[in-house]
Amino acid sequence: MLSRRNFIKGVAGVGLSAPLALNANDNLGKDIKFDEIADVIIIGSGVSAHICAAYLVKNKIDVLMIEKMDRIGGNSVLSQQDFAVLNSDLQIKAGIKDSEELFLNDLNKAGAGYNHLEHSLRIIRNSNEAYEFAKSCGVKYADKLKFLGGHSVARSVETIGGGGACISTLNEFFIKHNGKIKNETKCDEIIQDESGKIIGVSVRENYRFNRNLANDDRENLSGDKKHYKARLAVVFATGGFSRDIEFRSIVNPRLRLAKSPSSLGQTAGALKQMLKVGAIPTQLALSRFSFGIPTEDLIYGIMVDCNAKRFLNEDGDRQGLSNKILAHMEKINTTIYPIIIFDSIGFANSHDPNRMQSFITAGKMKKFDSLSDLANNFKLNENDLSKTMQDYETGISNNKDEFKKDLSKIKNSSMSKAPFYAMTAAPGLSYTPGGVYADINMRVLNISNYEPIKGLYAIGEATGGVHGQSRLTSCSIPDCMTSGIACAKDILKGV
Amino acid sequence: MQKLLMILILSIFALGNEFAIKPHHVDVKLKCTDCHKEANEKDYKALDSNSCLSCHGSKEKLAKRLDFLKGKNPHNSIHDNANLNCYTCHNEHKPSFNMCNTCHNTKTWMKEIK
Repeated sequence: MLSRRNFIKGVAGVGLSAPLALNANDNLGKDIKFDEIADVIIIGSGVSAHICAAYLVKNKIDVLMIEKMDRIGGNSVLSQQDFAVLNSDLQIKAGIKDSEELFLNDLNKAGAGYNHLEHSLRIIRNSNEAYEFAKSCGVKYADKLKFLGGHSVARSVETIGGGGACISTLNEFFIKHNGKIKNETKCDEIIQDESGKIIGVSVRENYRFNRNLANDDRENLSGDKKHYKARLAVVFATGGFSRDIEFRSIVNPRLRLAKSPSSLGQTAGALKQMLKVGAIPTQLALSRFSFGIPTEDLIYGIMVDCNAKRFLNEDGDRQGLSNKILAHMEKINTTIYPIIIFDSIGFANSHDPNRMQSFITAGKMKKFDSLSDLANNFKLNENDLSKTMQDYETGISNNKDEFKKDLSKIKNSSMSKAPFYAMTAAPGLSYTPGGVYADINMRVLNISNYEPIKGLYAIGEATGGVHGQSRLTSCSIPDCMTSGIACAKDILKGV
Repeated sequence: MQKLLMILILSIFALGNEFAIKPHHVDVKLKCTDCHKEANEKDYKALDSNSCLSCHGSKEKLAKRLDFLKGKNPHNSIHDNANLNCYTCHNEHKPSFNMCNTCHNTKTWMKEIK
């Protein structure tokens, strides 16, 4: 393989030096004066980064963690952190019969065969070890199992205090074991030596992320340039790119109009750095949506677009509904999310009325005594809305829905009994399943020969191909944690 | 002389616009140099949280003052405990930014932040 230096020399020789000067980055390890040296540099500070870091410092490895945001924990601190574990102490205590085959079957079903089997097995087989390790670091789990959608048995443990508590506990453990962390430090570039081995990163300290820029990665020039050397490895625990509207619209135009509920720093910058040194982009077009309301309740109401018209069968899963909503918004050329409306009967039919009530307390869902209040609030034409609702009711009385909804499932819900309840139905892109491809030891593979790029690892959401078409709920944490530990173990092999 | 005075006034005006001080800090007569310790104005840097805390006390004290918000205390939240920097939300020379509002509808429990 042509080294970067030779490549630049070679092309410069044919008289293209001017434009290339811009690209003549200093990833030429030899002549660099390093400002910091650590055994392992971890980029990112979410749960993958922290579990990997905790495992390494426990084994006396000198770790420097860097985070571009001022806030520590990335998307992980926004997460509830339900955690699917095979044969946990809680499963054994409850006498629940679970198996590799059963768990794999659930993962394959959600992944629709897009999931790489070796990674599904990596998650399943190491989930209990990861759970026990997290506990040994002080992370607390509730003494009950959750039986969550898509799982064939109860196997998910609940993190007490959610992601916030998990990250602060792991961070304390990391610092106590002499780990170092620098926030507002952005990785700009991966540094390679002549053989292509990754030996460090160039960063900017005192970096201030600017949420007002269309593309912070490209436009933000803040901070002081430094070079960090990694004796053993550089680990990218850099999460996904769900906030990077520009990038996600390229990899899948359907994602352009999705809402971005994830942490502000979720841009594609880190992914692009890995691609520059030869990583394999994998399944970047995939998406995972959150919805703001349990989708199983939508069947009791109607969803209307900004013209107060229905456009779909409200009975569906969040992935299917989100795709239909985004496609419809593109079609009618709007950026306004549709509104989900229940009348009082439909509202009362919810599988979890307390949760619906909590949406009202939180201000997410509103209660309206009259249709005109509702129409005014969401800027809908009242007459059009009234007609849509009447048409829906007519459909119910004729037992024939315009959008083929199975009316036998709606438990006598109607669309005429005030008060009405309504909220915005925005598909939120909360997780991007695509990323770089890594082997089960989390070594990033090179696109030119499918061999590991020496010294480079990727873990957690930064990797692609792990979950496939749709990620099963509560399977991000076992992925993040088992990949963090697998990466740490592989690094330790080389010590 | 008049021209010089004009330039001086204009430059103060321009500076005043770009780096206006928030009303609650004007009330206690804060000057630029109370926060920015660099000798030369052009060396002024963005402040860290410790500068704010030199007047406002500790993060724990600030968290305690909003204890009545229970699970919704922005200074001691379920996501970040008391670990956020002041400037994650509060700005002095530009409008502040309610980060909670990026995911939650905060109108029901929080005032506009200063």
